[in-house]
Amino acid sequence: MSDVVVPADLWEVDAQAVVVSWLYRDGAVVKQGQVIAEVMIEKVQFDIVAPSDGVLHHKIPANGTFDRGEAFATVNAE
Amino acid sequence: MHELTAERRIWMYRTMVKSRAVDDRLNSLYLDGKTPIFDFRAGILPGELHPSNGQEPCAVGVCAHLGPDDSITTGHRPHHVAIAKGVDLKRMVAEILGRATGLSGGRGGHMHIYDKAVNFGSSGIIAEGIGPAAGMAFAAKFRGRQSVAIAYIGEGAANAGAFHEVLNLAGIYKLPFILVVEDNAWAVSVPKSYSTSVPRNSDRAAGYGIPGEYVSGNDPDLIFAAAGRAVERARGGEGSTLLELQTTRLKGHFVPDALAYMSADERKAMVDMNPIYRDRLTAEGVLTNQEAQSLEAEALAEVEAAFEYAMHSRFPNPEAAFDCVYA
Amino acid sequence: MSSERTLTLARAGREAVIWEMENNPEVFMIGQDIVGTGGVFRTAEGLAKRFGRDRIVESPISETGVIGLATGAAMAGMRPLVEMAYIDFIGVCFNALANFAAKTHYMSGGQYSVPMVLIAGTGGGYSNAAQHSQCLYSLLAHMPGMKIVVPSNAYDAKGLMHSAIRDDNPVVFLYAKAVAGLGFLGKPHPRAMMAVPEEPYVVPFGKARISREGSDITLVGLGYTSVLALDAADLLMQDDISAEVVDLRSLVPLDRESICASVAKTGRLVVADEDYGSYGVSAEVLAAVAEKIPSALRAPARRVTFPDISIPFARQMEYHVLPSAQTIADAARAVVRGGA
Repeated sequence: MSDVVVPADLWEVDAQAVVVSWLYRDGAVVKQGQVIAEVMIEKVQFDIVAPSDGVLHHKIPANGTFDRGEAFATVNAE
Repeated sequence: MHELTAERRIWMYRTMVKSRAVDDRLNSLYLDGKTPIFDFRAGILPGELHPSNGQEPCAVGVCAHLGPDDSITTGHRPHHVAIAKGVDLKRMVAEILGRATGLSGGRGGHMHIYDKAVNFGSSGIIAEGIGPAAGMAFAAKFRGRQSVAIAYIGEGAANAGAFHEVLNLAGIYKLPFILVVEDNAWAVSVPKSYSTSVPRNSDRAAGYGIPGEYVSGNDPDLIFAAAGRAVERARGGEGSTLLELQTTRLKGHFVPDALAYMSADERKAMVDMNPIYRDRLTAEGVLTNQEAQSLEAEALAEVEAAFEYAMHSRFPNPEAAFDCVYA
Repeated sequence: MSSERTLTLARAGREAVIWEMENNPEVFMIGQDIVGTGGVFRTAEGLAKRFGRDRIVESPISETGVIGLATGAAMAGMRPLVEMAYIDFIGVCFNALANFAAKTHYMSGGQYSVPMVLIAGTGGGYSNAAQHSQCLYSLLAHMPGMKIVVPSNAYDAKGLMHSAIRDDNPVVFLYAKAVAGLGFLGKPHPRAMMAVPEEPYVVPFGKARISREGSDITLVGLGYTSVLALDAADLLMQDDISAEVVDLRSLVPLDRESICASVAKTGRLVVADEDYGSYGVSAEVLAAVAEKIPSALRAPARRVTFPDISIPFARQMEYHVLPSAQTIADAARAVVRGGA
């Protein structure tokens, strides 16, 4: 299982992040490197890619917020 | 031509402080309510906001020579110029906050600030204010007046068609017109070094038969001197001038701008003239530290009163949308 | 095998651009801020890194010059995409687009074609005032020689962008900001996000889409109002009114057949348009009905449009006059109750 996090070097500020949209639904099969979510920190939007192949599990829904370093989804090998 | 007296320098500093206080307050009101997902629509100050933090010297150095009969047009970054021109501060803040008591009754918002009493107008499409300022100069000349008209643009606008057309018109009609180019080196994310075929737009003036002057350093005193020369030419019937002023855009293009297209070095290199000018005035004995503090407190009090007025003003009647379409 | 993904309009359109650029080395994009920020509406996000600055060409603020340059490159056989951020800026360079680019094929008797796409954002509703919130649909649609498309969802956005880039005519591709899924307008509108296939596909021009079938009244929309019409249809269900929603999506060529087929079925019509009311899209839809099937209407048609005024800044005024699901549903109820 791998955690989906915002890369540390992108998260400069001490603010929460918000999931703007999920490109793949909870339970979808995703491939490593595919853009799976749009996340916003303060006013900057980032594309987040799947860290590995497998089944995506959302931990935070669209519009939900999460903290620096927190895994907001996981990808489980099938 | 106006001399650079202590009184004028103090006025310039005080106006820079006032302008910065307005922009700082607007910046924080703007961000209020717009998180966690950034949304232009949300909060007490919706829409776009283009702060003038850092560009205050360009406004005060020029406006120190102007009276209410002189006209100014400017673009989407109007606040510092409006304040230096003597626009009604309470009604300007009310306009930015979309209140019925605003200068346009809430119809214009931050990019569209008009105060006819001091002949000031700003609008949002790049370079569109250059022609109208030349037209106000045309009217002044036609009527035998001594007044001048000034268009403020950014260096990005110097690549738009209107810049070239109107400079040529100013040249052939010998208008009492000054084109002030605020060179903050960036047009949103496009650097001047890329967009412009020559290093200085002031050199382009020769192509239109008028004098051009470049002022480096974002220095109110140097800007005052150059503007004085241009205003004297204009009032004396000698025609137009192109003034390009090096300045700095401390907050980027608009409030949600994270300046990601600038390098860390470029961001660090941006200099804030406000405290530097204060240090100069106190070092030269123009102001004591105590006088500076008291002047700052006064300016802040004036700004506070303007925001109080605006925040307590009523919102427009929705049906007021239908007024002012035609005269 | 991977699953369906749900994209925003902006992302879907960009996917089509990427595919076309990968498969035709003479497709290039030119515009302001496309390198530094990927375009103010994210139309070029990541493209400069992928294709280089010879093909993602940053431009100064020189709309007349840039559209002229793109036109010439197109006349020489290249396929330029001009990124113009806000459609409001078209005023600066209207001649270059409407008098030159759009008329060159005709004036040259067919010798020259201008396979160019102008990409811009339209619409307001976020306090951006008179000069940055316009649609200008009718201004553009009125001029001969151009094609105009306005997708309302991600699936159409990608398919229409493929069609636009492959078309040999000047095409104006408009992103309705309220539904495009842009970073500065909060959460993307759920109706505009949609499953989008990974492979390329075309959505043809000149074909409207029935986005919801119904029997009592036809609601016609374009871009943002197409989505609002779907919301209005939901409201109308509560009153037992079954609304059919026609998403025009292609303004020029206009699918008059589909409009008339729907109105012939329901007998009632409301047209919703975010552009200024008079002399526009809604009038053209009503004209099609009046000319082709005049006796089909059981009650006078209504239009819900932005009024003929500049767009005010203060939201108390702007939101009061902007079309909404509520005002569209109100108009529909009035038509249903007022008719035979």
